[in-house]
Amino acid sequence: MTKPVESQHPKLWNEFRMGSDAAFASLYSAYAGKLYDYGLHFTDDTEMVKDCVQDLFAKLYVGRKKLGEVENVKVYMLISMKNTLFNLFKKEMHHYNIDTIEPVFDTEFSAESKMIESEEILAGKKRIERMMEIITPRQREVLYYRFIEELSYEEICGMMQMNYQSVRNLLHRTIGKIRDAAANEK
Amino acid sequence: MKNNGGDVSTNRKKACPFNVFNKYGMENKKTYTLTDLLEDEDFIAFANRPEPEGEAKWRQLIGAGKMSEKDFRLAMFCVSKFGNAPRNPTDDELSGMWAGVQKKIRMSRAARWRSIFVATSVAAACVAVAAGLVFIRLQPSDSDREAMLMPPKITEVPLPPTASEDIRIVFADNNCIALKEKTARILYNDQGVAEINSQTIVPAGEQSESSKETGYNQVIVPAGRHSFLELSDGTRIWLNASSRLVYPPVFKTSAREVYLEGEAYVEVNSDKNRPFVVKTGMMEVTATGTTFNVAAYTDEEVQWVVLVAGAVSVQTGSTATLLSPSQMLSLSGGAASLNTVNVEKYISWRDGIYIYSNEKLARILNRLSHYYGIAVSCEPKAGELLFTGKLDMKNDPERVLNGFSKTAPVKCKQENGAYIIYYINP
Repeated sequence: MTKPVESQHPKLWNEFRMGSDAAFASLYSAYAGKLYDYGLHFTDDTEMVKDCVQDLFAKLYVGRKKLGEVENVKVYMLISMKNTLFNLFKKEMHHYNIDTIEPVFDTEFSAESKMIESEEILAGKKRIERMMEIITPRQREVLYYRFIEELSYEEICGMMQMNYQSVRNLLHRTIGKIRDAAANEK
Repeated sequence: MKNNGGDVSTNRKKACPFNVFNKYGMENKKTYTLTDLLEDEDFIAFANRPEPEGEAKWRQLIGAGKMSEKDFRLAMFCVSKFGNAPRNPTDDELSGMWAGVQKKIRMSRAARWRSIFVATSVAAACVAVAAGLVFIRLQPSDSDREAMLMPPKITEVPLPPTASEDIRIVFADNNCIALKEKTARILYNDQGVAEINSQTIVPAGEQSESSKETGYNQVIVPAGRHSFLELSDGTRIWLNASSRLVYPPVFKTSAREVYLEGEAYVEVNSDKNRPFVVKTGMMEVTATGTTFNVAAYTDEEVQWVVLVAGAVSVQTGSTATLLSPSQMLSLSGGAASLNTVNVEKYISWRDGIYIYSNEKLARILNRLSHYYGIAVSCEPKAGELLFTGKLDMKNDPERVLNGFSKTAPVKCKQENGAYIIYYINP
């Protein structure tokens, strides 16, 4: 159940570093959409996210000769996207000279599927849903990396600038919250 | 920034303290809760990409009373809640963003140029050129993405759509200059500005800094003409008749690369850090500073390189051959052969002399038709005849062709503007 396509990306990355424009275009096709979606978890400003994606790819291209080997391209791209986005936030804050809060991770949940389910399960889902809306941005972020990007703990450490134990604890507590919500029979 | 090492799957295994199914494929715990499932990466992978096989595996736990249906469904729900709502950009947005990437890349190049120019106090006019970049195509289709970052690869630069009897120079912006003269002398300075037959050419369209770096120019020499080029790096190239050379007006800092169809005599200006590469349909000739002759006519099945002085490496498929002076590497039908030859024979065309020894008439005629720009054909039996000799191609074609009939049982006739060589039974 691994994703075979991603395993090709280190090769693509190397071809890109060696000057292949085709590889650059392939990397864009593979990641632009994903990074856009990822960026929108931090802000609703689609233009700003697009700008960041463009900045990221342009910088990669211009500095491609200085890039090192990357074995996990996805994590590299996600971290770059997060950094690009946060740097832009900082720049804009400075520019407008207003005290803006740091961008936080947000999630829009998909509509409920129309499966026929038992009352008990339906009730559990409702409670989980409500709980997920009130979890902290960091908890949301860690679930996103784990559930959507399927990152390992080490990879999440890199993404969130946290050590291994903190990531474990954060994820464990967050899942604990879900469990409590599901079990909470009112 | 950390470059995550190692294969993703092994990373996962190491990282995950939980695995409902351990490495023996057996359950390693008595019962499984919602928490266990949500902490199990195999389960998450399954929830994101449910397959019947995986489903059976997980449901088997329910059947065995080790997991509740409710926990299973809720765990699936938790994962899909996150996974089902990606906000993907539309294709138009993706294309628009890609155009933006291009623009940013060019702007940063322009900025780099600008700072170099300012630092070295070179004419402010150059800054104006760099700042006046024009972006032509802003709405590429999906499939255009690869093509538009740089023009096509040097080996894939298209010919102009129309044929011509003139020598033509095509610039990166597709502006074309046609010359009626018998020969052309094209000199590029190190800024990539061309001087053609002693006239400096300023193309009508934009020849921006960025297009100079990324675009290609080409010279197309029709039959019966030839050209001499001096490229921006000082390398001198004599182009034989019916040939085409594709090259950048200014070479990149990392490599020098040209593409050849037809025949060229190349005197590479030495630059140890930037090898000079001549690409043809069958081979790549790499040199740092040396003189050689390459023949790669697309309508001939044999392509060859003769080294005059220095050293070249010839890459054909996956093998590389190093040539010493006076050696010839010829390629035919995928097979390569290395011989020591009389170099003069292969480079005398520059002086309008064609030396041949034990050569089939058909091949000689093919070269003559390139050289003179005339149609020549021969009966198969005549084509097999072998000739040795020397032709002065400054003579008119009729005289040269009639020369054959003096030494061999052939006769030359002109029909409908084409020359035909007949075999006569002696």
